[in-house]
Amino acid sequence: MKRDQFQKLCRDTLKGNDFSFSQAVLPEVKKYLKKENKEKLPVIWLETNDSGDNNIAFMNTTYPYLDRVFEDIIDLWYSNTFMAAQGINALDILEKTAEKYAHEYTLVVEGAVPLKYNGLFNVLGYSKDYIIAAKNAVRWFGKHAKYVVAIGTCASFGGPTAARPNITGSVSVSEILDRAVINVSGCPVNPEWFVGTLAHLLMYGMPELDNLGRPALFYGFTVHRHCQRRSYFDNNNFAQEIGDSECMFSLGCSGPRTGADCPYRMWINHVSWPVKVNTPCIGCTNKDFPDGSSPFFTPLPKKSGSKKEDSGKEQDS
Amino acid sequence: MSKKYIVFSPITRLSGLLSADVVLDEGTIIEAYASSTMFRGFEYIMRNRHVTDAVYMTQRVCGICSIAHGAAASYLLDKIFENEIPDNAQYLRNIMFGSDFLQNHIRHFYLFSLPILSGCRINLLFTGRT
Ligand code: SF4
Repeated sequence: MKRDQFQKLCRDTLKGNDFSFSQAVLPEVKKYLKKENKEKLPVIWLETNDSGDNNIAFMNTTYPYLDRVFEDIIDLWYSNTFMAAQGINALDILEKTAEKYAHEYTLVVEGAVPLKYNGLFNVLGYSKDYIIAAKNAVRWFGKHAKYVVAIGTCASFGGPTAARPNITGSVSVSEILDRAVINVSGCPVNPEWFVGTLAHLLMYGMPELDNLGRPALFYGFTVHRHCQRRSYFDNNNFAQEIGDSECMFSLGCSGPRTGADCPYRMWINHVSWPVKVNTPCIGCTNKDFPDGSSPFFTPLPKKSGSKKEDSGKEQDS
Repeated sequence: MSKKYIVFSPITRLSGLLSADVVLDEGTIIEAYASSTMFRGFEYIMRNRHVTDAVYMTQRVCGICSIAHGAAASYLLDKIFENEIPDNAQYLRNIMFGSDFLQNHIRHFYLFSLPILSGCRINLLFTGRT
């Protein structure tokens, strides 16, 4: 498949709920690896300050299912969540991988990086002689990686971890690395955004990024643009309370300033998404989430923390 | 007699970061310390927010058991606002909570516990490939 064909498939608004994008990923990657005689994408996955929700969301990937991703798309050498090795063996693998695949591996960082107190608010592992603070690990492994992918809003922009008052002094991955970081934001991330990004990196290299460093393939349009309740919005029919079938702008929906393809990609095997289950979008892919979206049930113009320039997406009409 | 101090870090295959320090005395564990080596200060993050935000914000405490936190927050709201919720709403909550419980256990068993039970030779994984 040509690069632009693949990208078109990622972007196609009609293809969300008939699985054609996700079903295409695996065969394409396999074909590519065979044809080009290439190896799978070597990945080091560091978990820092977050809730572990992104690896959970990643486990929910369907077509390709999780085992297929591991078997056919990526070589996951180090991951606190998925690896069998423990203790010193695990750190050994981390070290050897970084050596063997220097400047070839993809670094996936899940979570924000706390800087206060020498980064001791997040320690990946320790022994009697050393402490591996996330701050130092992300800097070091980030320097020697081919690509750096920040998965989730915490890693991409600080997210809930860096929400006020942010007593741990957490920042996003891009803030401590002096290089391009691919921000696959979302709280949690949609597995298709992540697997799609990995497939793109493997086959075509760096995807096109938007002004917030996110793959434009998945974050290019606002939620509002393709929302099923959009005609209610355009006709000024607003919900009075949760459970009404009209537009939930009146109940604090952040859809108009949130870039994501939830309305057609949907979640958990393409079953549903927040507005479909009667709850307003809380803008979890935004740079200023969660403070910029809160109070979640207050209409957009009255939200306390909302700053238009922070949302990364102009209000489209 | 001689005491032995063992650091086991990191413990993998769980949600979050965990390490354990153990003191052995002639093969018997006499002291054990578990440390979860990450801190975000959610108690502080929750302060000064609108009370209805709790349902969504607390779900960010943990990725694998988010509904438990969300459910606790919504019960709290019911208390504060003295809500009488309809039976169906209660059923719905229970079903959601039950499903969350299920996925939690299935995930834990198959992805997190099974590699150890299957006796896979973990330290050979890398050397076998290189
Ligand atoms: S404001 Fe929200 S509910 Fe209304 S149309 Fe936009 S995205 Fe949909």
